This record gives sequence, structure tokens and C-alpha cells, in this order.
Amino acid sequence: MHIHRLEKIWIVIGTLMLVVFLIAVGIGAFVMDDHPPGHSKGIKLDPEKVYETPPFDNPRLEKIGENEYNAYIVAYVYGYSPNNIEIPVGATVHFYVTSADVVHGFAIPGTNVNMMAVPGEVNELTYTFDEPAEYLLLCNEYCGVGHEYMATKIIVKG
Amino acid sequence: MHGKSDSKLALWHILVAYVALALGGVAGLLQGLVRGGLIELPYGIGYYQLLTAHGVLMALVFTTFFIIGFLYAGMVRTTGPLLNTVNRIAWIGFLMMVVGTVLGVILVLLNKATVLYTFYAPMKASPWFYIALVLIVVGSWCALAAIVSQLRYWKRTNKGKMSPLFAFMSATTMILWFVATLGVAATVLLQFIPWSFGWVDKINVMISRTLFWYFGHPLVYFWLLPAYMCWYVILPKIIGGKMFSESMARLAFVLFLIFSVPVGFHHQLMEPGISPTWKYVQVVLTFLVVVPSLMTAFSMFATFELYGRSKGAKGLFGWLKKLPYGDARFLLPFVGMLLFIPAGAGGIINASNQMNAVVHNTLWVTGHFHITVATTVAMTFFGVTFWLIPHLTGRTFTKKLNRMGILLTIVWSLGMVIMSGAMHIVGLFGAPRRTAYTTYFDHPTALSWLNYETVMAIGGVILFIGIIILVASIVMLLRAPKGTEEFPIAEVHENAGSVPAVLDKWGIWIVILVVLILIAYTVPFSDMLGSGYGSKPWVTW
Amino acid sequence: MASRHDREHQMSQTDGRDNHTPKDDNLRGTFVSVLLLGAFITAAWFGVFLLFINRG
Repeated sequence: MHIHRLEKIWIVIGTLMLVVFLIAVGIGAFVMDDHPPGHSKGIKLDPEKVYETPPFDNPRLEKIGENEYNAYIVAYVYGYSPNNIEIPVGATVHFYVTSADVVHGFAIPGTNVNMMAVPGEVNELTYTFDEPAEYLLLCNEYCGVGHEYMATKIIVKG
Repeated sequence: MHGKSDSKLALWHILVAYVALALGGVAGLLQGLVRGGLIELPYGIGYYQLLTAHGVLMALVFTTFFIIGFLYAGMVRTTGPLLNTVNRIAWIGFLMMVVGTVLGVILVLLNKATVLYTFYAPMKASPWFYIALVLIVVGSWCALAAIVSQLRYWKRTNKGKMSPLFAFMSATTMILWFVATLGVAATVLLQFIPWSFGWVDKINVMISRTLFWYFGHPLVYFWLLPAYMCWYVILPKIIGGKMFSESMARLAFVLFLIFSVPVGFHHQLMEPGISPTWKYVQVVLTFLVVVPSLMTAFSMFATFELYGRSKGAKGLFGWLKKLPYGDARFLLPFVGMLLFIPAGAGGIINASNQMNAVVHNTLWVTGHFHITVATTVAMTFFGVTFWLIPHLTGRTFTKKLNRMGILLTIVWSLGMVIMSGAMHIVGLFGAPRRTAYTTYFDHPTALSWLNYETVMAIGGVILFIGIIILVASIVMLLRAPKGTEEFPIAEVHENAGSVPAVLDKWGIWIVILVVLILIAYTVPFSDMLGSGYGSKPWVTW
Repeated sequence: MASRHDREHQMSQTDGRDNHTPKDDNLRGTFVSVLLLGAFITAAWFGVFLLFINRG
């Protein structure tokens, strides 16, 4: 099969470009531990019993270190529990999020916090809030008629 | 020569497609105006109802009907009149799809299926909505059977000859569609229907999402491949040139066949229940499916350059001046091609593993699919329509219609660049998609998005003007002066070289496809099957 | 007297034809176009990558 010399070169260049992208995100994910959200421990829970299942039987912000927190959050139509979460600037927060009903989003615009809250599953990501602000935490997955009102604040005090 | 029934078959598919586009366009206009803070919806219409209608009509109905009609017309052009059995299966499929569409639209209008076109569990629509989807999908399988049977018959009566390229590409597209729709059929038949009727208590959400996105990614290649067929097989003839390489075109298509499916996780990168390893595996496979598009870019430029130089063009880019920009049959797909540059770039960004966090569920994604399917693919389809309708109805593509086509090109691309451009930007600032007008109680971040959302609305209005031009064009096409209009099919360039036999077969490629699907999905999917609690139904609208 | 081989060799040097596949046409405009395409994709990708790293 005849392939034009310049096309062969292009395919090599194009593939190399894609490989560079894959290596960049691959290193980020597997070496720097900056992988996409998703609880690697595979914890499942019964969505009908979410409010009876620890830690979501007590949704809360829990201090676990110098400036380090676990946040156990339940998304529901149409809000988050707990809401209006206050943390000091520089805090590292491990978010553990589930849903009490349908699939919701869990996103803080201006940050890399952006993941799905799925009933029966626990999603997880870690974020360090270096800038003080009143961040908007909103649902970006359609969940019903009140979807556009589903939001709360993460208040980072500086 | 077309049998009258064959022509009618293709024509009716195309007309249904445009009725869907027009209705979907009304919904889109209203959505844009609401989100831009310019109007409130009258008569108690829900924003999310409109959004569901818009998504279903544009992304499922317009596309599927147009594609199947276009493919039928091309099959007749390249393999002769459809066999009686083929013609009959095709009509049955058409009727099933129409019934499914009407049923689905009625349920959406009745607010019984306000679940958006992705219908994610555990939101539960009326069981008749899922039945409507089954009718549309199974109806489309009739098109697969029709096209494959027709090609088989042609091969039997043309022993030893290579399939006509359009026919090969049509069969490849429909085979891809079939393999893809097995996923959505499985979740709808085995999960949603029993659950929505109440025969089964719970639904496993992760399994339903995974089966949907197993379908959802190749769906976009079902849209793209027919556009590529126009670019590869038809455009060279329209400009007066020749196809650059039939082998490379076929190779691109078989690469799409094997790499489009085992990649659904790149739509699920922000979800729990799938390990980072398997997400990355499917990201790597996703990047492989970029390669045939890079090849297509080369083929397109090469076709134009060879033609331009054959007309005496000199220098590096002199050939650009030789292209027939005044011919709407060329201009519409060409502008679609140009806009595929930012479109494809955005897609690569979206699939980039953890980087997806920047754009997931933001308006960037909405900008992306508007510049891909609603610009590149749609404009290519519009460009085809201007000669295909006259071809099917024994009429001519007049100078007046050509001017309508040029006008449409300008209006549509302007509207899309404005709307999609604003969406991409405001998406990077975190504005969510699939969300009605809101300021989140006057939060400053949300207020900062409003200007972009107004620009989006302006783009939407321009696009609606485009829809009016398009509908007017179709009416004019149906009443154009009688005559004959060719269905352009390109010849291959002399230097292109021969086509290896393996690029006129599907067996080996389907085997590779199945192996890749098993590699990409077996472990993560069996993890889901073996664990997890289901969800009961929720009706949140 | 120049042999036919020499004349073909001369032809391939003046009109951009590749020595190894004498049938290859002049596609330099195509090549530059796709390189520009690659540059666009790379620039866009790194733009979002930097945004991601910055926000991280």
C-alpha cells in the first residue's frame, strides 16, 4: 500500500504529539498521584440507608491534622450536607461525597474540584485551598427541576 | 437510476430529519434566550423539558434519519436499485423509527420524560419513553440489515471487484453503529424497561452509565463518519478534482471501526466506581482514535492541493485560491472542515484523563459538541442536502438555491462561532452545562458568567435565523425546476496506488474490535456487576 | 550524454519529487497545513494543561 512520504512523516509527528500528551497526564496521574477522582477502595453503600451508614450518618468537616480535613458530604435534591463549609486558608481537604438520591455534580468553579456524586458510591478527591475566598460549590449534573438552585459555599478564611 | 420507492425512502428520511432539526431549533432558541437572562418561559414550559427535546431531536433524531437517508441514496447511486427485500426492510425500519420518535416527543412534551437525552439513572421516565428509544434503535438496525444485504448482493453479482467506496464506508458506519447500540439496547431492555414498569425494584447506576457511554462515544463517530464520506467521496468530484488515496480513506474507516468503541470511560473520568488504571487505558485507546482524523486532515488538504496544482497553482498555498468557494455544495462542508480544527482540539483536551476536571459538565463541553456535530457534521449534511434533494426528486440545484446555501454558510458558522466560542470560555470559568438561568443567589462567580451567557443567546438567535434560511431552502429545493442533478462520486487520483484486499473486508476488523472491547471493559465492568447496591426510581421534575 | 537515470534524478531534484517513491506529488502545502494543525492542537492542549496545573 502506497503512503506518501510526507503523510508518513505527519502520522509519526501526530502520534508523537499524542504520546507526549499521554505521558504528561500519565506521569501526573501515576507518579504525582494526581489521578481523576474515584475512590480506589471501591466502597459501596446502600443509597436508601445513606444517612445510617458511617461516615455519612454524620455529614461533617473533620479535622485530621495541622491544616488537614476530611469532609464527608451528602448531595441530595437540591443541596449539600453539610453546607457553608468553613476552612482556614492553606487547608488540605479530602472530600468524600455520595448522593442520597440521583446523580449530582460536585464542582467548585475556579478550582480542579469537579466530580460526580453517585448514589451507592463514594467519590473522593483531595484539594488544597491556597487562596481565601467564598467559593461556589455547585451541582453541574442535571438532577431535577431545582437543579439550578443546588449550590452552597466553601468559605476559605484567610 | 432510482426506483421511485428508493428515492422516496431516502427523501423521507431526510425530510423527517429536517422537521426534527426545526423543532429542536425552536427549543434551542428558547433555551438560549432563557439562559442569557432575556426571557422567561411561557405557558409553564420547563427549561429541562426543552433541553430534553433539543438533545433528543438534534443529537438522535436529526442525525440518525439524515445519515440513514444519505447512506441509502449513496447505496443506490453506487450499487444500483435496492433489492425488493432490502427496500422493504428499509421502510419497516423507517416506520419504526418514526413511531418511536413521535412517541418519545409526546412523552417529553407531557413532562413524563424530563431526563435529558442521556436519561441517567436513577431518574426514571415513563416506561414508554424507553420503549420509544427501543423502537428508534431497532428501526435503525433495519437500516444496517438493508445496507449490508444490498452490498452483499452487489459483491455476489460483481465477483472479484472491490466494493464501491461509498458502499464500503456505509457498511462500516452501520456495523460500528450496531456494535455501539448493543450497549444502549442492553441497558434499556435489561435495566430501564423492567425497572420503570416496576417489575424490578432497583437499578445499578454505574452499570447503566457504563453501558450508555459504551454507546455514547461511538455515537459521535456514527455522526462523523458520514460527514467524512462526503469529504472523501463527494467533495473531490464537486471541486473537479480526484480523491487523494482510496487506501488511506479505507484505512481511516477501519481504524475508526476498531477504536471508536472501547473508549466510553473518557465520558466517565470524574465518576467513582472505575479505577484510575482502567480510565487511563481507555484514554490511551481514545487517543488512538484521533489518528484516523489526523490522516483525514492530510487527505483533505492533499486533495485540494493536488487539484489546485493541476490548475496551475504555485507556491505553498496557491492551491487555496483555486477552490470553488462560490459553490455552496463545497463551501458548506469546507467551512465545517475548518471549524473541525478547534473542534477536534477540544476533544483531545476533554479526553485527557485528570485534565477533564477543568471542563467536565461545564459549558465548555456544550461548546465542544456544538462545534463538532452541530457545525462540522451539520454543515456538511446541509451541503449534501442542496444537491441530494434535487437528485432524489428529479429537480435542479439552481443559482438562487446556491445563494441560499452561501448565505446559510455565513449565518450558521457565524452563529456557532459566537455561541460555541462564548460557551468554551465561560466553561473554563466553571459555568455549568444543562442548567437553567441562575445566579446562585447572586454569587459573584455566577454573576461573572452572565455576559458570556448573553453572547451565547445572541449566537443562538443568529443560528435560529440560520434555521429559517435552511427551512426556506428545503421548501425551495422541493419546488425547484425539474431536471437532473448528479450525485457526485469522485474518481481516484492516478498516483494513489492499489488497495489491499484487507481494506475491503470486515471480518478481521470486527474481531480486533471485539478483542479491544474485551480488553478495555471486562475487568472494570465485571467489578461493577459483582458489587454495588441498586437505586430505587426517582422522579425529580 | 546523460542517462535516463540521471535525467529522472534531475527531475526529482527540481520539482520536489521523492527519490524513493518517484510517484509522490508535491504536497508541501498539505504538509505545512497539517503541521499548523498540530501546532494549534498542541497550543490549545498546553493552555488547558497549564490552567489545570495552576489551579491544582
